[in-house]
Amino acid sequence: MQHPNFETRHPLQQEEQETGYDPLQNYNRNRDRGSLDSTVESTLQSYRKEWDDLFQDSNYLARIRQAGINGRLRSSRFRSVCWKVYLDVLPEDKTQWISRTKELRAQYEKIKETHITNPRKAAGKQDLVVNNPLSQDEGSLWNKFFQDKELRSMIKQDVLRTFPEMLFFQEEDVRTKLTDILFCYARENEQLLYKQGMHELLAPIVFVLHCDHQAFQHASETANPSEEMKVLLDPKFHEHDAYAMFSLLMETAEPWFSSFEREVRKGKEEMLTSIPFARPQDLGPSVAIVTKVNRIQDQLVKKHDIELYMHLNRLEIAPQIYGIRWVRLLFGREFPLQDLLVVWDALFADSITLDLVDYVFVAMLLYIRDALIASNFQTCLGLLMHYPPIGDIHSLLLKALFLRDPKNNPRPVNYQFQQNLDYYKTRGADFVNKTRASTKVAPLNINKVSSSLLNFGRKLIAPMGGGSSGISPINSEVISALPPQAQVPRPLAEPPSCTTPTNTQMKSQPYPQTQHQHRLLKSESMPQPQLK
Amino acid sequence: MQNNRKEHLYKILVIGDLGVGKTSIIKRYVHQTYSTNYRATIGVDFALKVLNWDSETVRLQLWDIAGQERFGNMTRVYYREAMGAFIVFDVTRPTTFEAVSKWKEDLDSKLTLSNGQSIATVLLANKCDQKRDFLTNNSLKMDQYCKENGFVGWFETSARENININEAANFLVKHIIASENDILKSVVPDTISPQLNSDKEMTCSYWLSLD
Repeated sequence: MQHPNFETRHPLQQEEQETGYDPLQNYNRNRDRGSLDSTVESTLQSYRKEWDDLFQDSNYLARIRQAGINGRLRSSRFRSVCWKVYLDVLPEDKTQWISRTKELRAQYEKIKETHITNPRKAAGKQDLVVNNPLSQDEGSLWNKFFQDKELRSMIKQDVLRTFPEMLFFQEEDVRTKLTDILFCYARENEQLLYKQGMHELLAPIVFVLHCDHQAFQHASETANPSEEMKVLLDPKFHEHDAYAMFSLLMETAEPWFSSFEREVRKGKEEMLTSIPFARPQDLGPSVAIVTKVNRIQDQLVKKHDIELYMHLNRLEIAPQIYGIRWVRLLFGREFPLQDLLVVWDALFADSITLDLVDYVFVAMLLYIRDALIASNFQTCLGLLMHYPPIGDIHSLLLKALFLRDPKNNPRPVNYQFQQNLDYYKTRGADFVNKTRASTKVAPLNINKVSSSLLNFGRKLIAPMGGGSSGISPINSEVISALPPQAQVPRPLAEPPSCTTPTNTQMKSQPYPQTQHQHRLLKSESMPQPQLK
Repeated sequence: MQNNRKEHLYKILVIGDLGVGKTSIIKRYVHQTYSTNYRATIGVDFALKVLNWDSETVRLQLWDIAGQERFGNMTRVYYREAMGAFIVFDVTRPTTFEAVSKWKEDLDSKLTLSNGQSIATVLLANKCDQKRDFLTNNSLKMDQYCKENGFVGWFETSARENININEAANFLVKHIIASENDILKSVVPDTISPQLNSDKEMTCSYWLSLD
């Protein structure tokens, strides 16, 4: 494997670099000297200070919400605590944090005990006529055992396919945790059970908790952390806390996984027109997710970009073709993990109802709208189903906020295609050298840029070369040709609050290959020759 | 250079239960690669493959539909205008074979060609590398099953070992072209008849002439 250091370092270490500060490096250096000097103290203090900055204020909730929305948690070591507050795992009243945490952990302990039972252990006390492996009795513990086995293997099948590019998710104990949590959730929610995609909502939560635990352990080795930190960031309860966060997230996301169909209520106007000109997606009953993505396209896209709306309709691109995955996974396949976490920071911080999802959805469409409008059915599908890399995630979020509430949010600069200009200009074998050398971003030519994005879309779907084996890479080939995204120069109009790494900072990366790995996370199925 | 090659575009569905290897089959066919690292398909995905077919060009649009999506109305949108389908099962898991007839029913109930026929469908017994005796034990039964359930044929396949993937695809394309010719013959020019399943240019495929 190419990242021998991955597990011994703080997983978000590269992010620490962005702020010019690396607690672990200091820690290691000091341990070599065998002494506890001022650097360590400052490390610890800054760990404490980071906590205080986030949670000390009496008005802390508004502040951490703002931090999440503005992308300021990107390198935070308390992201999981913020998420817990956003998701209502922790109450607003901080004095209840410890008791609430203990309560939820005890609850999970009980849930797990109830659902993950071994019939051999339990069967001793039971009637053998009902409880034997060949029993047809529905209430038989053995019947439950076999059903559980089936459910478990279905979950396991997806857990094994979770973020396959990341070593963290290849670890057996991580996989067991994911499986157990999803299994317990399914048993606690018999109507919904397990649905594909839930695993990719859980995985980032598990990862974020792990990162914070790592940071906590490094900080706590040198001095005494506060009681709150000790309880909240106790790695022993990784699984418990992940379950609590996941199930609260699912309270909002659940309808998007439900396969329960119902007739869509239609407005008067729609009733009058929908029959003669019904599109296929309008026929028959519908599941909640389909209703949702259609509302987004039919109402929000229509409102904000009528031309794009008409174009998609003309091509008969139903939003459930691309939008179901976008919404269900909260854009988990559309962005690399480090950016995805920033998107989730904002989604969760904004509201537990995840109201912002619809507007991020629209902002994503608008980002590629010129390319879509100039494209045919196939190219459009290529762009939508294999969303092009986006350089500045924060601009996208600002756009989403502006779309939802233009009065109270500043109009963001038009950031469309800027990153792609740089990407295409520098594409090639000497990509890295070129980007590192160019500190200035060339003047933009929007027309040229959008045509380069168009080419990207065409490459996604067009056949390569001539021969009979001509293939059109939609996924692996194109993605694998992409340079690491972080190395794309920043756009000109970068909001100051965004902490996207700059080129100069990238140069000082001690582990460039790790960074590369992170940036490849976007690919959902890229061939990994280096991973054996 | 004049190039008067005729082009066909066919939409092909790849369906079947969870984890039977639909994505792997498509990746093998389109990219000539195999990996155990594919993520679960959520909703639907698609890929393109271009073939030289006699003197013509055939573009295949392969729609990879998540195993979970069989339930309900959702597949209707994914199925539309498809001209052929693979239904895939995993020879190591009998339940995935039991689901084959459900997938076939779902497909036939939501999609027919303009002449009322169901679309050409090939059954794939995938992961045959993990169960070598499948063919010897089941060959006759499978022939019978295909006849009874309206499959044009079946193949045992392995995306991992690259067994029969190209053969199955060529077989399906041959049937698609045949059924398309049937439809074209039966179309009376200059009349418009409303068809729920074909609202694009005569049939479900596009005919293009490249100059």
